[in-house]
Amino acid sequence: MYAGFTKQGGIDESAYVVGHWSEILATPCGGSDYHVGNCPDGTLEVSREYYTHEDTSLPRKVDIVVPIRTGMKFTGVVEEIHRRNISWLLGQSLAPTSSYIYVGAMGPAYFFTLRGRRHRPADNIALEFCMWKCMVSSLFSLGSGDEAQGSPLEVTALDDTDGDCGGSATGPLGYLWAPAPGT
Amino acid sequence: MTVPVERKSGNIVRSINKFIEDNFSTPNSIDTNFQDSLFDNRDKDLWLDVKILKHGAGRLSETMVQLDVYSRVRGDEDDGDQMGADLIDAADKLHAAMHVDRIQLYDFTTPASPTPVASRVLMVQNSAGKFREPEDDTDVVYEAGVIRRSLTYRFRLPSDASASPAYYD
Repeated sequence: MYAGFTKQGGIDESAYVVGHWSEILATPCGGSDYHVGNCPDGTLEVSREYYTHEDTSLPRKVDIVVPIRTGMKFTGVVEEIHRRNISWLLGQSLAPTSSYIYVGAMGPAYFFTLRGRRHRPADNIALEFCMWKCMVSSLFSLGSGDEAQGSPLEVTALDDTDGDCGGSATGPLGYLWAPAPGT
Repeated sequence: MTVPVERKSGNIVRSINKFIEDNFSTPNSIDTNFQDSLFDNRDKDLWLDVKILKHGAGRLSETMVQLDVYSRVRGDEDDGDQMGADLIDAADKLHAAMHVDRIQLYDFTTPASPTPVASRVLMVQNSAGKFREPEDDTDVVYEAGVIRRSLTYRFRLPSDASASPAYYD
């Protein structure tokens, strides 16, 4: 029997996270921060994929693991519907100059940095994420109903090894910031 | 098993009382009855009554507290609160005081000098999941010469929001 099992249940009670990502910031590369507004049901996803090579033994076992792909994505709902957010949700500028937001015209890709923050209830320490060079990859969908109606948001991080929007070779996609256990 | 300090209902209820005293009663000079059966309201025009409806925080559930603001009507005397303005004003002050995400939890082993428990708080969160907001806010129109506004708040520890472990030691 292994003797290392000594603690059941919760270990660090201050680390429970309740509630939503309470602050979402989009920053045009080289521009100033823009508050997206209320963004309920936000979810940060970091995906990683591996190529696994199996040997010739019987039964076959994995003998080589090669990382082949990683990604960062933030999804949620943008509730505040005005021309800046609509333009952004349609993959266009965060600072449109007209109330007409044209759909279907080919334009240059619009890149921005996305940051999110939330606080832990126990100690008010903020958790953060940053995705350096992003594009909006969601469809725009504005429904109707008795509650506030938002459009889905999906933001995908792109490789920013070149540092176009603050990234680097060691942090090409972005980062997460979290305190040490027991902090 | 020893109950951790943050799960003792005495510490939880007293921490809530202390928060109300420090953030509502004292700054607004409004007398508050923390479940004292000898509390005498005969000479008071406005007071707060704190009732614990349910002890559940620290037990993977929630603690419900009813905060009743009373204001005396005094018949048709000029200095009475016939229109309920004092009551509304006091209830707004109470709501402002309670409009926080969390309140600090204290260890009342020495009641005269409670010590804050590090990283232990009670979340102010109603059953709809909304932080800072009351569970219920009801006007009780008239009873025995006083009018009453009844606010109910829901408190729980962050660990109460966690899925329960299968067994405790």
